[in-house]
Amino acid sequence: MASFDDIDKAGRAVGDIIACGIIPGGLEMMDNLAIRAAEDFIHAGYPIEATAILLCELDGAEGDVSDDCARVREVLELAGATEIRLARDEQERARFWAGRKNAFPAVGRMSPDYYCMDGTIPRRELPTVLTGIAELSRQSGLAVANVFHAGDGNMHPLILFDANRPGELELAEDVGGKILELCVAAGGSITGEHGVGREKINQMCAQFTSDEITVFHAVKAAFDPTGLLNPGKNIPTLARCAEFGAMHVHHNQLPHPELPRF
Amino acid sequence: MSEPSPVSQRQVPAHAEYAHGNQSGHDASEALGEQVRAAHAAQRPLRITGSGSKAFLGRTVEADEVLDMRAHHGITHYDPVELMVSVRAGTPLAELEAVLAEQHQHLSCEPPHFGANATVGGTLACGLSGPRRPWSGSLRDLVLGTRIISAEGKALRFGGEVMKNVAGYDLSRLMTGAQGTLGAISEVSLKVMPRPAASQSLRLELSLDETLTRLTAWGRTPLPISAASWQAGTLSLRLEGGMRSVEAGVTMLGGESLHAIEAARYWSDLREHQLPFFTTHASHEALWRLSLPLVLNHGDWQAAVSETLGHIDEADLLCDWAGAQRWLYSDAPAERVRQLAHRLGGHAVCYTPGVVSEQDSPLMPLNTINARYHVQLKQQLDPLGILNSGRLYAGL
Amino acid sequence: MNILYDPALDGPLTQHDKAKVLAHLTAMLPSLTLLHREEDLHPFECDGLAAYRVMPMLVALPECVEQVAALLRECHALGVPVVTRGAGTGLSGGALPLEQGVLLVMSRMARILEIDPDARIARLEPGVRNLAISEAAAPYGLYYAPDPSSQIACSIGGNVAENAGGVHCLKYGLTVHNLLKLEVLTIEGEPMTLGADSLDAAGLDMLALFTGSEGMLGVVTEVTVRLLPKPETARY
Ligand SMILES: Cc1cc2nc3c(=O)[nH]c(=O)nc-3n(C[C@H](O)[C@H](O)[C@H](O)COP(=O)(O)OP(=O)(O)OC[C@H]3O[C@@H](n4cnc5c(N)ncnc54)[C@H](O)[C@@H]3O)c2cc1C
Ligand SMILES: Cc1cc2nc3c(=O)[nH]c(=O)nc-3n(C[C@H](O)[C@H](O)[C@H](O)COP(=O)(O)OP(=O)(O)OC[C@H]3O[C@@H](n4cnc5c(N)ncnc54)[C@H](O)[C@@H]3O)c2cc1C
Repeated sequence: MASFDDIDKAGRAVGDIIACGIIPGGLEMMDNLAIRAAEDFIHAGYPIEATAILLCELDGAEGDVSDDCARVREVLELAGATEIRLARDEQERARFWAGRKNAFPAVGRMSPDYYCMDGTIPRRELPTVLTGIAELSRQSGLAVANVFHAGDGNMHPLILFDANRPGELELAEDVGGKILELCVAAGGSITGEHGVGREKINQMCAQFTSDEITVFHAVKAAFDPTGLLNPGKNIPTLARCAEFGAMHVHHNQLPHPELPRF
Repeated sequence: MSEPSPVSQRQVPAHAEYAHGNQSGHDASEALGEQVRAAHAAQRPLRITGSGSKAFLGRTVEADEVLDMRAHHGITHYDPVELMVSVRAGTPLAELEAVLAEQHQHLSCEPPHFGANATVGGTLACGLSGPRRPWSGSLRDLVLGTRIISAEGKALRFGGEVMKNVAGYDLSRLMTGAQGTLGAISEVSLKVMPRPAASQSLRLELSLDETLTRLTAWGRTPLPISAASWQAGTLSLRLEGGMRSVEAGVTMLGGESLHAIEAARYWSDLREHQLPFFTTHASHEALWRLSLPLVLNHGDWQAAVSETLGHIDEADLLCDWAGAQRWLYSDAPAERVRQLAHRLGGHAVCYTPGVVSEQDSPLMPLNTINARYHVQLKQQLDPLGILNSGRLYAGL
Repeated sequence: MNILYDPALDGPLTQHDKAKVLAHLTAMLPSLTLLHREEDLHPFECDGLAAYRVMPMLVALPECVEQVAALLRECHALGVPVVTRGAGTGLSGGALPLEQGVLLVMSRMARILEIDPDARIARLEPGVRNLAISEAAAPYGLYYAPDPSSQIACSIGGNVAENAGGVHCLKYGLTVHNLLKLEVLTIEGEPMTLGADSLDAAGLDMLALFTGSEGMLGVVTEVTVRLLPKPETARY
């Protein structure tokens, strides 16, 4: 576990580890709000004053892991980690991990409700996207904790809100939608692992063009021509995209007029 | 294709974005799109080609007009630290591999080239993987995203340049191995991996039966095996990973250690069908690829062989992928070889042109329901049959 | 923002008479457990995205693939939509029911059909929990790599439908990288095998297409996954 006083440095350290040719089994990042929430809940021994921590798990054959551990420590020092701790024993290792695995419920204890996002980005865009998220958080007044599968660029911003306050759920969803659009703009995706379902149906229109969405519908029709399996999920209708206005506009051609209305 | 030396120091690649950017290569996507749009408007079928190195791998496409992807070439984006490269379809595979090697990275599935000029697009369309496949995953597993030209000539993008992306259906992986029947691949983003720090190949004299028994037992341990082939009483093994685990593996397994250069040549020749097994075989026999379950009881194999083919000469068999990919020379009718593969829970592909009839396909026929959904998918994505129609199966 | 089904934007849905559908399905599938009373339907109103809730028309709890196939055939014939649900831990509302639809819950089909330690594969019914696979493989020194944080609860069928990841994806891949074979049923109740016991199958890579397709293309009724030998050591 490595602590950092600067998110950029933590992000760069991730790239440095991979640049050495080491692929860690797990590589997770948490920001200060997530660290404090997890520490409060699990007492994992996280440094609550750190701006960010990196959890790096190396697995494999005993000898290789020892070599890689030494190498990773060097890299983290060079990257400007303020503290580096190797789990002393299996118990401490399990505690470090428990803090991360329970980050969602931990954040849940800090706030009546939270909304978990799942965008992915190229890792190099992390500082830009985090700055964007911080700005959205400031504008909306809703706190955002960041938990990040740092190795593969999958972010889980957790938006804290209180559904009992009128309008806050809508505000949280609005912030969430904007975060996903930030991810798309950074060359990423609206979902890394949680899927589109119903939740991100409108953001699909930001990630794909109407031509691409038409192809998705064609694929669906090859297996389920009458559309009886899970209707309304995963792929938006073009009418929905037109309504939500986020559809890509190509060569200044608005794709809307010919769309079917139901 | 040089192998890493057994005791190589890891080197740190340049952290900055790799210099290969948009400046190199040539973007022909607009012209290619225009060609497809024109063909679509005229309902004229097209035959997609890269370098033609794997032309034998499918049926003949009935089309006079060629969509030549080679003009669309160059690496558009390579970021070693993101473990990602985006490359245009017409780029020679060898060129891509050389660029990756400079950064001590590679395509971990080591796809076969089958020809010096094989293109990345043709490689992807064929979806083949080399000796590391059972341990590293397939070519499809490396695909992060593709840009394609649809049958209507539209430029579409699926997936992307990030490691995880589950938005929409996974059409980029579907394109892999589809041989251009669902779209012409114009660009692909692939996950690249660091080359292993250490690599050592070994040779052991063992019967096939004994080889398979041992590989099964080794498979349940963390031994860093990354290739295992057997031919004529010799098991060739490659161990790759951290220096210490490779050294420990070598000590444990014994056998004869191969020099790095000799080892690199062997695995490359195996992958490229340049071993004497492939180059010296009598021409009247067809080469079949049998893709079989990961662990196959040798007795079951022998029983199935004797029931379908009668006898096979050991010299006609080469096993790769720890036995899951077997190359067989046989003059038996296609039907028999397919029965053999089917009985064992796998499938067979004929690699020699002209062996199966025109109506048939070198690929194993699909069952009725599967075939129906294959055709429905083709009809949805390419109703006029513009792109490589009939390449996989009649009507597909 | 309201994400509930909106016929104006998502397409028209046919209205069905619940009593008639129930009577028909009960007659055709006497052995299938069908829930229809409001208090029984409540637990199925939402998945992990709990802000959105819809009461399903009916909930079906099949125990074997024949029941699933028959149910799909009947629903297809009646024109009743079907939403498949695994463990309901999804965070994007993928298993959100439809008022005019049957919710097909796969959680009772949760048998581990086979662990073959030599081939390093596990053959599973779709309702098997993710963690249960690694637990069953542990005595052989093997494990199933993808480990979503919800692994105590989420089902392998749901993992396939979402192409679930976990904290070890960079090195060990997503669900799609750890699958060998799927048995699926189309909406018409037709069975298809996607992938194979071998490392590739003839034809198009339908296995990859179905993985991550969110229950839109078919119902997964059996999953064969690859198992890995446990690493010697893991350190932080
Ligand atoms: C063992 C073996 C031996 C072979 N021997 C010979 C031989 O002696 N002579 C010979 O001519 N060929 C031979 N081939 C076939 C040839 O090597 C392959 O066709 C080649 O590897 C494909 O690479 P390529 O770039 O040359 O693609 P091509 O061969 O040009 O294309 C391969 C397939 O992919 C499709 N395709 C190509 N590019 C794209 C794209 N961008 N998007 C969509 N689809 C695309 C093509 O239509 C074709 O179906 C052999 C293949 C094998 C496996
Ligand atoms: C606390 C928490 C943490 C999580 N962490 C992660 C994580 O780290 N990584 C991750 O990837 N996800 C995570 N998730 C999301 C979720 O657990 C996964 O998406 C999981 O794969 C869903 O499985 P399920 O069985 O609950 O599916 P459900 O929620 O029941 O269904 C999900 C989708 O799959 C379809 N489906 C389910 N079963 C089948 C079937 N048999 N055939 C066809 N379609 C089917 C449904 O129609 C629906 O569209 C988390 C969720 C929670 C609540």
